Amino acid sequence: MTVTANAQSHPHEEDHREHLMFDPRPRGEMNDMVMESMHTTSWKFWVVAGFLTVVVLVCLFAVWGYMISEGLGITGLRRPNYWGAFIVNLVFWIGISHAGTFVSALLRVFKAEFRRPFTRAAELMTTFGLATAGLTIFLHLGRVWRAYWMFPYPNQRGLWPNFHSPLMWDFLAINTYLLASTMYLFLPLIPDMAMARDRSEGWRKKAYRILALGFRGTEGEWTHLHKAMGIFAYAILPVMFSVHTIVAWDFAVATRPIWNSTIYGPYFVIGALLSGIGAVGMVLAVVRGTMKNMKYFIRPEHFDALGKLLLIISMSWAYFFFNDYIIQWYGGDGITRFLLAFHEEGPAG
Amino acid sequence: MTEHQIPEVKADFSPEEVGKWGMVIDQDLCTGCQACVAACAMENNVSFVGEEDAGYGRGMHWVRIERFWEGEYPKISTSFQPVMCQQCGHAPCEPVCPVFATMHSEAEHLNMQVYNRCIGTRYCANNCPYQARTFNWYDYERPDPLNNQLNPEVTVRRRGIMEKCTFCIQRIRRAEDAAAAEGREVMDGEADPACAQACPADAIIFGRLDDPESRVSKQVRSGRGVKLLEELGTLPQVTYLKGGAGYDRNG
Repeated sequence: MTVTANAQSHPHEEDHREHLMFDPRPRGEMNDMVMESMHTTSWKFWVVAGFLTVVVLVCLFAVWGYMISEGLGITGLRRPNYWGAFIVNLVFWIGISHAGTFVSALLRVFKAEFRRPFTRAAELMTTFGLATAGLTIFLHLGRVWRAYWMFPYPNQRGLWPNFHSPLMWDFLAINTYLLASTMYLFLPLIPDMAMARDRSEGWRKKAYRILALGFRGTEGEWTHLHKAMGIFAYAILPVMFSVHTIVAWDFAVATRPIWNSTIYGPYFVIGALLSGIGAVGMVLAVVRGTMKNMKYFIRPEHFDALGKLLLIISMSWAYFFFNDYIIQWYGGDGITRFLLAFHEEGPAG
Repeated sequence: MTEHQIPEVKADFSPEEVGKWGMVIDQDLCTGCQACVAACAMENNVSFVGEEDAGYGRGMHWVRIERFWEGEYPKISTSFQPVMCQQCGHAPCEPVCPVFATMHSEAEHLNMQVYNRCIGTRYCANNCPYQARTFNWYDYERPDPLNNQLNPEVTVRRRGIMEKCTFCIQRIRRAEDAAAAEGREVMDGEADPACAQACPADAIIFGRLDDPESRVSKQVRSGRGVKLLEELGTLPQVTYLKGGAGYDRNG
């Protein structure tokens, strides 16, 4: 009854056959390989997962709780640097999150078929990276228990949030991007959920049935899905660019010397892509090295393609890095030049 | 049914216009004695952060005395510059707050800090070119006798909140209420903030800028005045006097 997700005669099968460029195996066999890696885990996984869970719990509850109850003084910040590691982390994780969608959407727009094995990992990285970035906003706040005042909701104080504030733009942009990238992750996931639903038992089957949204793999469903994914791939690219330039505006619109620079928008986007593509490579390496059967799906050729992309982006990034200095230095403002020299030489200079 | 009103972020200022309340600080008279710093801390319940944190750069005084050395060693002179919130007419701190904790009062043309709205993003302090804002990094303790001198007219702030000089708005309000009760205008010198009241050299003058006969208006017109970082277009309400000799203190 539900064999349709892997029906042999389907026109979109062309794509599926093509994406394993080198030695395509029968589709049923590949599905089994994927399912096997989902069903079997070794004790090593539980050791690693347990360790990471403990780290997250300690950091989230013990350390963050201590910071909330004591005050932000424990961060070591002081006048005039009111922003520190948390904002750095926010920018870093938003950057990481960007490349996942960028790689995936760009390759989808250009119909690069070799992308298929690793776009899922890239999109997942986007969603989790953004969630981490969203968390650091809360870590950063002095009174995090009042963080919901940033939400525009009708309240007894008769106040909306201040839409003039770059932080508000940031908050809205990150939320928009989180929603969009989650949907972008989920749409291509639906047929795979259906595949997993057809091949699992018990509570897994129930969970996959809910997540598959009743996908049966009919002609009409595939057409709609491809149309939706196409729209999302095109639409999410500008959203991605806007989010990181808005993060850059946090700094660029401020009156502080060095921050106040027009280069920050493109510079942040390029920096995000650089760190993010590096992160995609690392995630793929971990997936390939630790999960069963993944060596078949993720090939050295993929790393080669990512490496070439990384090379181009890193050269652009170096150019923007140079620009960041040269433009501000050229502006000739005394304090800016002092700070640039200070960055280069430190207090000894 | 509540009507949601978005407060004005920027006052409608043109550079010619001046706000209602203003301050003049005469650097030729300032001796750097720190009396204003102490008076302000007592009036406004400013936390005592202790030696270690103050040395680390977390002192919470709303006024600080900047010290400048002029000249080379044998012929050296010092000048002092008390710097507090400049109550900018076009304040960089105001538009960046996501929750309207820092905003402009149209009535007094002052920058308000609404402590209860602050969620501690600290963007305003980053964006203040005068570094006039202080942040409550911890809940600082007030050892026993000190808790008895808290001013009941000023909110005691807790950790995670930004604060800054208010031009002693509680004193302005008290003077305005007293004047309204007696059916008159606020008199010159009636609403002096703690720093102006405590200054032994009378270097800090406070008053109404919209009254051309007030001492502060006359001093602003004296021609010796400069505003800090005027090139940023922040339209500060504090004028610094410097470099004159043999002038009449009262106009």
